[in-house]
Amino acid sequence: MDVRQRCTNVFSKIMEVPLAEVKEESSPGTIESWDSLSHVQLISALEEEFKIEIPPEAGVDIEDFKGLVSFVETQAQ
Amino acid sequence: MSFESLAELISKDVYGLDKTEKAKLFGKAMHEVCSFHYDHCEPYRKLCDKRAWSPQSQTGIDKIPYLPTSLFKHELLLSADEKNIFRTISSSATSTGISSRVGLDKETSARQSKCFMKVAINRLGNKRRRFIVLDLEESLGRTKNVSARSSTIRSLLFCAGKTDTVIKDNDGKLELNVNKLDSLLQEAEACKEEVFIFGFTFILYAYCVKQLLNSGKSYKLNGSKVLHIGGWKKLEAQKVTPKKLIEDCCKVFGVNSKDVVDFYGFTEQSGMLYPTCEEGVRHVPNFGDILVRDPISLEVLPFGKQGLLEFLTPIQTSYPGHSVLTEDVGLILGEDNCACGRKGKTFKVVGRAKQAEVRGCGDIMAEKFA
Repeated sequence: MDVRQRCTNVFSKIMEVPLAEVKEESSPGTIESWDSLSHVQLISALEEEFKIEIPPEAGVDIEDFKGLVSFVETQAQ
Repeated sequence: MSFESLAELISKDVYGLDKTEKAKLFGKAMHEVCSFHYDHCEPYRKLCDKRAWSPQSQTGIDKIPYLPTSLFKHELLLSADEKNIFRTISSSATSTGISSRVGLDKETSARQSKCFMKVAINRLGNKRRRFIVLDLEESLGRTKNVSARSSTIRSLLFCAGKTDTVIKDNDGKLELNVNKLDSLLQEAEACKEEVFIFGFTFILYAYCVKQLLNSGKSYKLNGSKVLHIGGWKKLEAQKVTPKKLIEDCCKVFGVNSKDVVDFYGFTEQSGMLYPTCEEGVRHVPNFGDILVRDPISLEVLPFGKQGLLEFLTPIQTSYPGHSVLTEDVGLILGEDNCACGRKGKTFKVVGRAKQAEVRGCGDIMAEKFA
């Protein structure tokens, strides 16, 4: 399974949204459940899934799901 | 509309520009944003016209018409189309019962978050840690209308690896869950885990630090940080000074005094955060500036003189919050000369103007405690 698909699965589970609703442009503005608290849970779950560390600084430029996947892709290589 | 100078200003190292470099870029960014508000917010344009000021006026930032915080209580001032406002932030209700409100579109919200994060990371470090929050669990969730108290906590959570709340609601009265806090702090001490303990100033001191001190509890949390924000008025009434608060936090939590961080900010310019640095003073980042005005004449005062604090920033484009005169009293200490190494003006907030109402999340929240 590729990084994007794995990110989609994690995202869908944490945010409790159907897989089909996870789009590249999904952001805290479009996904109701993507709040500060679920964001913390999402980051922890992605760190666990990919065995990576996501520092706070990474969040400065991540504005949507696409940005999140790009960041994980660079870290998970 | 694209705000190119503003984007460039935000992209720079947050405290990296010296006076000359900053003046040029900040001036351009303010011009872009002032023009935008002038063109898109009718009440602001009327105010500017009344003061015979227009974006074409070749004047310094001290001449940009400011809005007193009281104006944000009377109406939702907007420069963005109302249908694009997806979130409003309200200040803690004050002693007069009227809150300030600001409306955010997605662009402003994202920009404010970015600025807030850059300042927070600069002071707190680029490492996520357990966040022990002195508030109710519900203060961490999302709602369309966000209280300033909740907004502040949530904004800091991007630094969190895990979150725990240690305040409970006992039949409408709030109280500290001492056992939970004790167990979390003992665990952190045993694992040498560096945590963040976050609370509103009065709550942190009166309902946590003092309670732990009185019960003789103390911890060794070297490397952990104690973060607080909110009004000082109620602590002042109890004769608790910032120095006393730091000393007692060090006694109880076993942290270094440089790791007790006092944040300052206000709803009308949410996104702007002013933590105390390791030297105990506050810095203005690249994307902000500060002036001190005489409370009577409203003339700008020189460094070292106390007066009303005016804050300028171009980061809000959905509402005219770019120049706000607060009711907080303080002074500018210097510029580009702090021993901590950060550039920019340094300042100190010394209190509230005499006629000002009680304000600040901690002071207002305190009224809900048992």
